[in-house]
Amino acid sequence: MSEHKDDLKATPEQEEQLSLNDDRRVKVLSPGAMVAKRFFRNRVAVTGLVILAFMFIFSFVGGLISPYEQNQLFYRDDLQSKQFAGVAENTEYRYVVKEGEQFDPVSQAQFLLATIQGQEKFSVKDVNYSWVQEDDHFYSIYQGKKLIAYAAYDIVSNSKGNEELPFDLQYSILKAAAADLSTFEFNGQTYELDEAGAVMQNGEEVAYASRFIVRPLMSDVFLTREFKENLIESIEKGEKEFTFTDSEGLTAEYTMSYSAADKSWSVNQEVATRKFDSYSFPNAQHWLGTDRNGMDMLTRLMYGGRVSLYIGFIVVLMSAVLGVIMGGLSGYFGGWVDMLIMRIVDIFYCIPSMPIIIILGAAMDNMRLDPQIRMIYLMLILGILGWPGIARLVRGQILTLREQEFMTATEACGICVRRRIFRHLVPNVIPQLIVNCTMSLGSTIIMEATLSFLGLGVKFPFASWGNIINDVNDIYVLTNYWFVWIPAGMCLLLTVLAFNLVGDGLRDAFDPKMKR
Amino acid sequence: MRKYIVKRLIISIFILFFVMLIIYSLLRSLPTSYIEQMAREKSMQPGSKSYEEWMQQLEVMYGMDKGIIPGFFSWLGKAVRGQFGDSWKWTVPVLDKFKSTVGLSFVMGAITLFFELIIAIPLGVIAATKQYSKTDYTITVVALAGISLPTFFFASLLKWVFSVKLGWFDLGGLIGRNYEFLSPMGQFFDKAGHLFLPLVTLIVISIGGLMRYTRTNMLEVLNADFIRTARAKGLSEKTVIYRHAFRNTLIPLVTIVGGSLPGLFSGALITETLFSIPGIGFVSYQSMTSGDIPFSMFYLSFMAVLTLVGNLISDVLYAVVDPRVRIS
Amino acid sequence: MAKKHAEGYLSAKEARRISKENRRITNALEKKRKRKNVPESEYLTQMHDPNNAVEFDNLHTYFYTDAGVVKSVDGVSFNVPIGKTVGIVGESGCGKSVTSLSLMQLVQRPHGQIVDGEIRLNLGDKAYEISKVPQEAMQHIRGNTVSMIFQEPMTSLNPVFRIGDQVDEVIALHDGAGKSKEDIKARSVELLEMVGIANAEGVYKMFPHELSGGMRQRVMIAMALACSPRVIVADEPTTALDVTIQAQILDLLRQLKDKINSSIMLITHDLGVIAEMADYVVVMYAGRVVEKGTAEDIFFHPAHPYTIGLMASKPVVGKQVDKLYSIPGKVPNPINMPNYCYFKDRCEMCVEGCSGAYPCEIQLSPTHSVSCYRYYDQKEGGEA
Repeated sequence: MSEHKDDLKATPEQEEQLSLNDDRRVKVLSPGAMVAKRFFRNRVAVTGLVILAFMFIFSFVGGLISPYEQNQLFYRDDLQSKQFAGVAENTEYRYVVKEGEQFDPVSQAQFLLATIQGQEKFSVKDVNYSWVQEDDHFYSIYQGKKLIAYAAYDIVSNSKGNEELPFDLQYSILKAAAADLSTFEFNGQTYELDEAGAVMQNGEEVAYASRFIVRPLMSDVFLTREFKENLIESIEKGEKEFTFTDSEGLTAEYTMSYSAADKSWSVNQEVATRKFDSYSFPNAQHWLGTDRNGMDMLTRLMYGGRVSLYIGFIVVLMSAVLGVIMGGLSGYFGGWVDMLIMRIVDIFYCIPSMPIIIILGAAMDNMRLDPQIRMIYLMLILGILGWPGIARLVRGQILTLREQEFMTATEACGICVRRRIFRHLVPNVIPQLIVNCTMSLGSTIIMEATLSFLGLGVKFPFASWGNIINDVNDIYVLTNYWFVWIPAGMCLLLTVLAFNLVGDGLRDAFDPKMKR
Repeated sequence: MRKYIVKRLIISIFILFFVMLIIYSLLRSLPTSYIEQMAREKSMQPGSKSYEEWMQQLEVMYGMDKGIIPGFFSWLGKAVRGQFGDSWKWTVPVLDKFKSTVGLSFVMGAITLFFELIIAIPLGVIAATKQYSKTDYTITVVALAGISLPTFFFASLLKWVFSVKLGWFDLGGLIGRNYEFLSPMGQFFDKAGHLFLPLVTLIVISIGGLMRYTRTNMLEVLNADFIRTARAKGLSEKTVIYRHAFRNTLIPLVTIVGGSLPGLFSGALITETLFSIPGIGFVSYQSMTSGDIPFSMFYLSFMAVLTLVGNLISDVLYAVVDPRVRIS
Repeated sequence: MAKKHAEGYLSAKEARRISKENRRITNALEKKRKRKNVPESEYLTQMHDPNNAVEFDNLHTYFYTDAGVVKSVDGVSFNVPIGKTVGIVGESGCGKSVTSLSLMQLVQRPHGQIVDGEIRLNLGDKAYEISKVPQEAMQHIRGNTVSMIFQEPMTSLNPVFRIGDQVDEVIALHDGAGKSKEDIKARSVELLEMVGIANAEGVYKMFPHELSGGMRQRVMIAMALACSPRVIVADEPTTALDVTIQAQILDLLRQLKDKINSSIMLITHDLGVIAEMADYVVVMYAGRVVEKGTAEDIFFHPAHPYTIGLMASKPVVGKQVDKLYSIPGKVPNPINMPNYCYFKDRCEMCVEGCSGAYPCEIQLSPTHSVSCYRYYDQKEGGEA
């Protein structure tokens, strides 16, 4: 080695100058700085880095500052129309048979025939019947001299409950109504009859007769006669809406709609219900609206980002560790170790990964695993399917590097094996490894998203960008609720794109033969 | 050369054996399968046998009563003779179902490959020759965006824009509602129309990779010594790039494309499922999710065979196309 | 000493400043280069001496790198007379290859640029100023008027084309008017025979990887000679070959040069090659010419201490020494060179004037000149 000749004979302004022999005279960039410089010169790669930074902040910090929880349900109060009652006008004869008597449908048919023909007497299977018309659409039916039934359009209902009134009472009521009496007596009791068809006993309503059947559609609802009367009045007036205050003072609104097919009205009650705030459009409270279950989209996006990024990193880390170990062993030792490991890698390569993951996902579905455990299994599976690629890469690099002269030189210098591997070989493998890992981060995130989208990956209640888009399987959601799936998709696209841009930039930066 | 191919084939068979064994064991070890579902359904019908009895009967019928290893060998024995059994889900022989659906996937794959080649390769060459210019950056970003797009998102986007908002295409399926009433020409265009969106999805997703690969290779070639010689000979820049450099880039490209040819038969699982195109991908997706073991075994083994064949083709092509490589 | 010196690494601020400067300068130069349809009048010029094939006149070729401006060729002037061989000697990194690349305009742009000076090329009826010639016109010159033989024959041929195709290409490009394919093939085979390839017809059909290094270099020479160029640039043509082949190749070059009466610019670091081949010798050190003259001048009367050192370093067969002589120190990094004699720190014959500015060129005889303070007293007598 030469000796420096320090520059003492230099002119005053050159006092600091080093001799031309001195290597320190020219400053160069350190290798790391060179890589960084080339990377940052690449504007596209820097854009990728910025996007990544934003995504990370969005997912991790955003989750902390968002006022909502991942699974927080939101409700909204809506006026919901509930089917309350049905009203039908009776346009067929109703047959009420005295207790203990029989008037079967065949007889009923015969009766109808007889009335149409005008024959007051008719017989069915050797039984003679006769009828007497009491009023418009009201007939009494006798078997011989006994009154066994009556046929009428009007129906007598019990005001106080749902049980059926005795036949005689019903008959009396109808006869009184037919005769336009205002009072009548039955069984020693005096009853008052009013025009609307209400029957009172001692001022208390006990029954009423009406052509309209009003029956409640909701369980445990009892419709009072007053309600029925008012309702029928409204219907007859042709109104569509009707407000009623019941005896307790509660007012409710009802809407009526007529169905021509059934010739009946359905009465709907507007009830204020509390239900999940699903698919609400973006508003001040929820910047990106809510999803199917009523959870805030933006928060779910943030948590979803966390999940997707976590899974990506852990999977790639696992693959990288496994791959480096296997590839390293294989490349360094060669021989049968190499053969064996490469055959295993070949076998793994042949196994079609996507179908296998789908099958395993479907299986986990059937086993109904806990979502947490499911995520862990998912990560394990993806990691195990990923290591062969990295192993091959590492092995290839090591094989090339091993033949290069610097390795022979380290051996000639007497450096021990461990140092050779870790201080000389491995640092040269790292650049390619980093590039590969960055790109595979992107593809792992897409893989996980695809699986979650198919319903086989991360499951509810955990959010992941893929399973948020899952809703899109329903065409209605696709069409109308763009805010459900487009933001998640854009997040995915941007994140993976950013990873790819950064990986690409790194690849260019690490390559010593690049022109710039 | 022949010896090399024979040697590779033998190794491939060896690998294939293990792959099939692994897949079979995996499928058999799954906690539930189509048989169990069927047995459950059947046992719930009034007056039928109990679940256990059904399971026993079905197991015998489907050859599941043996253990995993004997079962594998019995499957293998039948498989090498070409009998892959009947599909549980579709109750027709596996091969029939396969034959009826693979044609469509192949056509789609071939069209995708064609467009991929004519778009990606020229763009890759241009990006390499104009490195670091705006063109290069644009092409790079577009290519990477293509790789970064999740298939299902892009497909949904296309559906949203073209099917729902613009109404130009149907949402899915292969044939429209009026298919039977159309003339043969009309039927052809009907099918073509339905395939348009899936094809666009497939093409956009795949050009990115090929474009980047072409660019990288081109850059490497452009830095080589013989390009400097070509310039020193006074050749125009165009000739240097499109004759000298490109011809060298073609070598790895051809091997890659050749290696992906068998993949044309495997169908694009996700895309077909999303657009409900009855190709082999969609059909196999349905069988896999419902636990149809014969069909799944067949499909997975088929894919493994395709991969191995693809690798072999790729290596052989490399020897054919590159005069420097002659397999000794 | 300042902190930065101890580290040896550039700080980020420095690096940024350098990049900015580089970008500014290269952008300006590139803009000039990229113009289309440059009229011939811009690059037509006159040779100072019509007997010269090439005149290098104060050539400056710089590379703008991340670590600073590398002045690879920093004021090089020499002439290449018609029909003579000029040998350019120097250690690795002295700028000889870049000089020849500048002549062919093959310097890697945008960070490599011809910044100043002129290269005048004699085309017979007219002369071009190479640094101003645009790309399209340059393509007519390359391979036709000036051709180059590269250092690495193993990688210089396109591996996927046959030898015959590659040689045909040059002929067809520059000399192919009116020739049919058979004519061109015949010419190629003739050329291959001329360079001493025995099985010319067979080799015509072969691929480069089927040939040895020596054969490939012969093919390169054949390609270089195909269009009877006026100047052949041989950039270390035999460095990658073994000595016996080296002798053959050099013989070949010599014969061929005589046959077609072209000049050769032979670049090498091997003094033996120079002694055999060169009529004139140019000695370069760290981007500048330190001495030039006829072969006799240099070998028998070396003037510059560097040349003297080079001569002394060559082991002589038959002479017994205890220790082989080598010039102490090493070739400096061409970034930010100071303004004193570059050889000063390694020189064993320094005089007092050496601490001054870079010495100018001193004519020792009509053919021999040197840049060294030791001959300054002769300056008064000779030309400055």
